[in-house]
Amino acid sequence: MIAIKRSNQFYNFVSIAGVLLLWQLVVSAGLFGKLVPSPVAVFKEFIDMLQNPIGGRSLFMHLWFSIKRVLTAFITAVVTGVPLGLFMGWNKKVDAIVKPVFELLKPIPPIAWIPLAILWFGIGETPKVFICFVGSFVPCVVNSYTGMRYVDPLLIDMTKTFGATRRQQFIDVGLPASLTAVFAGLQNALSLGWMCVLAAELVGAREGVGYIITLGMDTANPAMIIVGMLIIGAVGAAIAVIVRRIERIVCPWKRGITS
Amino acid sequence: MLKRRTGLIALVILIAFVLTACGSSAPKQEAAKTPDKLPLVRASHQPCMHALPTWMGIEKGWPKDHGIEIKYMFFPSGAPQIEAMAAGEWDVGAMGTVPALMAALRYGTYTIAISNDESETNDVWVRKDSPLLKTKGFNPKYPEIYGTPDDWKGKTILTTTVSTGHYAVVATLKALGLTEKDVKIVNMEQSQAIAAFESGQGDILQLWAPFDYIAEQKGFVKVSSGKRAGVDIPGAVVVRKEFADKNPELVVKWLDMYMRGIEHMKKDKADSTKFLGRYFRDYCGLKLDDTIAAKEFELRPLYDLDEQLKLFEKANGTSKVDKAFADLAQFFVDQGRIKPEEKDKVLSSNFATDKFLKMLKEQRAKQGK
Amino acid sequence: MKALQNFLRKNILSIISLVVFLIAWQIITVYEIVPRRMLVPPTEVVELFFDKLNNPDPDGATLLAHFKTSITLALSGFGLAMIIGVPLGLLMGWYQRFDNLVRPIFEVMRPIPPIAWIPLAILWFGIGLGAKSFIIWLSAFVPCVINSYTGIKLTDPVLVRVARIFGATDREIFFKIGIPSAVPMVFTGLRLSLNSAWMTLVAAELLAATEGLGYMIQMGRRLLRPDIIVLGMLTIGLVGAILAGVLGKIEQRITMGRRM
Repeated sequence: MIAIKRSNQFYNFVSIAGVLLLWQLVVSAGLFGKLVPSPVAVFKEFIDMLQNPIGGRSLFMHLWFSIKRVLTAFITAVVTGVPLGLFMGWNKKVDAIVKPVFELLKPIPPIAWIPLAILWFGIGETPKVFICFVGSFVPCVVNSYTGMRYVDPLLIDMTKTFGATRRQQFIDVGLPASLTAVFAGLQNALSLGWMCVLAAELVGAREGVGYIITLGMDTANPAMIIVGMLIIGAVGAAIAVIVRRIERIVCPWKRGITS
Repeated sequence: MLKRRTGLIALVILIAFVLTACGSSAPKQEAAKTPDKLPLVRASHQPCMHALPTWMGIEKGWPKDHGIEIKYMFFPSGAPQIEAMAAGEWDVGAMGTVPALMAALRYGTYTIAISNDESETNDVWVRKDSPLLKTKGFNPKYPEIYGTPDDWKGKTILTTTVSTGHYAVVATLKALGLTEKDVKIVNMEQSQAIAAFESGQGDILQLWAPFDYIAEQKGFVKVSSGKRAGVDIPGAVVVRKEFADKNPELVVKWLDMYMRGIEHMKKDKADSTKFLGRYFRDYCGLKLDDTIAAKEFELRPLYDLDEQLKLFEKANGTSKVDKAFADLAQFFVDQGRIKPEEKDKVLSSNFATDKFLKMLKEQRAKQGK
Repeated sequence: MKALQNFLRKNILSIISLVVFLIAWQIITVYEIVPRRMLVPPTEVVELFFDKLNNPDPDGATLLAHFKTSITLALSGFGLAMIIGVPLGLLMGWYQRFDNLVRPIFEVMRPIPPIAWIPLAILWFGIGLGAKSFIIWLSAFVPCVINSYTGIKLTDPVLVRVARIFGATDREIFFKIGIPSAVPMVFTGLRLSLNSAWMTLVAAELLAATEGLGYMIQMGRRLLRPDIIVLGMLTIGLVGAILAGVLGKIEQRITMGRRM
């Protein structure tokens, strides 16, 4: 078992090292001119950014600002989206009322909301949180909805036979049975919210990881852009791993496909 | 079993509420920070030289001399700046001619002064090996424009459309007897346009300050500008209509400080250059050194109070400022971006007004300055 | 006639809800409960819609031209995502070693938002359709990979064992058992992928566009025309909803009878 794990990690390592090496070789060979920085240059830029403030703030402060925005948006989305989705799944009337408007607004990407977000909320934290919220809200609703819709009708019928009230059916059967799907939705919501951070920080932000990328674009500094991208990527990957761990604790009955 | 799950859900919700509470408490603290002893003026600016009078004033502690408190607000460009104004987020600000005109048309804002002359810093660039560089002054009326009409024909121009830069490009084409149909216009944001141009895309690149300094550092050559093509592109100082109508005295107080900044910039270039360099680097995070800041002062004429009044003076019914806006509005009509009646509407609204400059002049006369 | 009646009866609540939504929107804008500068009334959006059907001003193209450009772009990115993503996901799901090699890169690249790639996309693919398709491909690619991966992982191990007993080679098992049993999941992936492609339009059209629904929104911003912005958003929303609906129906057909 341990041997397999080790070999897994070995392959992971080979893959990352291979990409870095290829990247370095391509750049050294001058295939992209001087425009794409080598991994070494990116690493140097990263070290430089760790030591010197960017736009008046340290790298960690930028990261913290972004995380705070995404978490606020995520939690708001969970608090509003999950109950909405569950009720839509539970009650056909709620579904019929909410669905058309929801389906119409769902495909509109968060970035398209930027102009209206500024018009409605100005340029403080609210529009930025709103953009991330738009991204997180959809998976919260969709998964809770699907989870509730796929609750085994047999279970409901059984509790009905035993005289459970509608409320009891919802709380004691519907909710627990859809928890797995809800949790998958939360995972998606957090990832998507995090992906919206760049769009959100296009709204006149002067701090955050997205701002680092925008600044890199404005100053024609590709190394800075790539550092920003890798930070977003790494944090996103870390979020996925952490959420999977939590899921294993909270929903132990769900067997991962990979394991 | 069921109980445990309900407990778990309750826990999740509890955590959620605690976290939201943390998130929402932050902005409140920020709001509490601004003391309301002096009246507050919210000034909006861009990473550009026309932000300096306000920024430097705050650094030097000027606002209290003028009896106001200033909240400095930063915008990367004109579009979000106007959107924020529509949301009532700021009161006064400096921006390019295009957003100033559009904001006047849609939201009735006033243009109350000219921040600087941006005709030379809305410019057009090529690479060193461009065939355009062989000829200069094809049309003797425009001696500083490079290239013959044949050189320009069919070229791909990277430009941010619906902007003063686009305006300078079309004016340049016109000076050579061409129209937009003779070239290929590609719409791009400034920073992306530089990256694309550097990687070999497009033949001609339109930029504005401070991006054109990056182009210069990269070895591109300027072939035309608004000024070289004979159009006036004044930078606008803009106030929100509701604010100006309600608090004209606050507008004048702020304008007093802004003009003090401009006058300082004209008088003490060395000191102001240092501040502009610091503004670019420390506040905006742009990697531009003091030589570039010095260039800004070279290329952008500034106007003191009397010169401003002259720009707004109506000779035969129209002032220089009016003419600049009228030409720009006509450009947008030709482009199909606004309707002729919209042009007439905005121009007849007299949104470019010297009312506040005159009030300032009077106030200063009273104070014996 | 009867069909219409049936439809109405079935969807009466949804129709009422939409109508109420529109009326509420109209009321809050006309009576300035929400300031006009913040939102335009729906009647104006509808008016603009009919005007934009054959008037290219002020944003440079008619609505139909914008739509055509956008759908071509979305489909090109989606097509590439399908061609590359599905086989990649299937291989990752089937061969553990391949999975270990590809996964770390995939996991790090996945959360990077498409807009962040714009500068690199310009360097690699220029400013034509290529760069824009690449941006779309990036987001359309992810669901293709994940669903194909999950689909093939769900292959019933009993089937594989039976095949092995009857002497099938690994390749045969992969093609004859693995892939067919992954089909429903792959199709779900394709549906999600097309949705992602459509939703990435606005980001992709930030890059050197002169037509397209995302470009239309951008122009609406520069021209300070909230009605153009809202029309652009609603068109994206409506087309997205229709795409989702149609693909959902097709998906039901394909997966019917498979899920026993």
